Amino acid sequence: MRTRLVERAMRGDDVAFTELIDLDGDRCYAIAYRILRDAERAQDAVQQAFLLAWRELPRLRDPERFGPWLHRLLVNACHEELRRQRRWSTRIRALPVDGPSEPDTTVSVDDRDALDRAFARLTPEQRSVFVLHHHAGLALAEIADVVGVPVGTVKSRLHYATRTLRAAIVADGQIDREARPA
Amino acid sequence: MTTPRHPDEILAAWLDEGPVRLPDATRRAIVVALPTTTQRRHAWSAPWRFPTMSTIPKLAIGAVAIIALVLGGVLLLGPGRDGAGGPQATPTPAPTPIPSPLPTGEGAVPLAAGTYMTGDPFPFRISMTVPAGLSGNVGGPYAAWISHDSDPNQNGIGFTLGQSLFADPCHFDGSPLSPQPGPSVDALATALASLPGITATTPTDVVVDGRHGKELTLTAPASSAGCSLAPGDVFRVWQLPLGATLDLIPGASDQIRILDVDGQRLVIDSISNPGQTAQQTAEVQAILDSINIDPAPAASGSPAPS
Repeated sequence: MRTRLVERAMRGDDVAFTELIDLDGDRCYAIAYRILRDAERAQDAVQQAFLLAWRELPRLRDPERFGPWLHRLLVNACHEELRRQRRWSTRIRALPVDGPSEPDTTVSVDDRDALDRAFARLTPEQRSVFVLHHHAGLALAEIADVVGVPVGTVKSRLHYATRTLRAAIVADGQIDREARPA
Repeated sequence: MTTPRHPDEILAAWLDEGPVRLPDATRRAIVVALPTTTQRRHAWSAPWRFPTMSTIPKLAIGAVAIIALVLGGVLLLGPGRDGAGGPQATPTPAPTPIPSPLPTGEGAVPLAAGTYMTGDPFPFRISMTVPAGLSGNVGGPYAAWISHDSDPNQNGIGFTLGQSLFADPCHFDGSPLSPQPGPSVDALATALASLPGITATTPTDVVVDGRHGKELTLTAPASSAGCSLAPGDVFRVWQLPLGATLDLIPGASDQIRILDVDGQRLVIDSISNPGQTAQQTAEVQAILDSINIDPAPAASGSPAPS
């Protein structure tokens, strides 16, 4: 079904493309939000990725590769948002505006802050690999296909990102124990 | 008292936080923009139109091309090429790869690895060795392209002529640069190097397959902030007579070589986009290094810029 929609959209059928948005939009948004940690920027990235996909769709050689191709566009859009953000934005943190996932109350405020800070220090490429693997559930080879790097590079990025975030939690716990007034 | 959670559990819970549903407003914004977003149907260009050709001329051109290839092969590989008629010092000449014609028409076509040559209606005969995984086409009388078709931002090489520059790629309103550069290599190089809104290196001398010219690199700003860009959020640099455009996304760079080919101006440019892999860069460079340019056709046979 999806392939047929892609083939129709490649021929300029915007109704078919709208159905593709309905099928893939939520997943793309969830990924973008987790890479960017900002709802508005995630919306911008998703919009940019879908419009670029629509514009370039006739050049897609294999309709069955629409999924990985769309993910690549999305990741590139997120990276662009991050680059723009680093250059121009203030340090205002946007809060998510909707969605059923309320903050997990078992994640402490301190842990959340530590993770947010550590995640912000990761490169866009490390963020993407981490989210694609741990949130979207993509295998390393699939991620390599999406981001266009060797599997070994994916592994090293994932390893660094995971180690950094784990360390943030552990360090935060130690600080809690050592520095907080009893 | 609660049991401390494992860091990975905390990490997973933190990652699960946040929205999972695309807001309706965003979905609507995308859908509303579709009718005004033109789909690209070939590499590099936006509104490209290729003159329709009936079947008989196509067959005739094909037949002529085959005969030319056969005759060329006979002349290249046959005996007595030096006119002496005697036995050759090396009886088995090294095989010369005969280039395949680069496909002509709208839309990039996936290419098998091999040597390709541009053909009609593009006036220059340029051959190059292309690795597997790229696409290409002769788009018409003003352009031919080789590109990584897996890359939505179209890393690759363009062979073009008939450029009309836009006045300001950063503040784009469709206005042409005035006056347009003259027909010389230096004039185009100087005009490109002086364009506002994008960075350009100083033109330097370059030689490609014995053809002299100028080389410079344009680099688009990494951010579009402060700019009002052409549709598609691109820095639009030039337009060809039939409408194809050179567009750079933010952060992209374009290495431009402007060559004098027997008195006619040929532009070879290779775009490098942010995120381009080392392998893609190497493949593009290998193609550039393999370029051979045949003598140019008579000036009267080249298309006149409109």
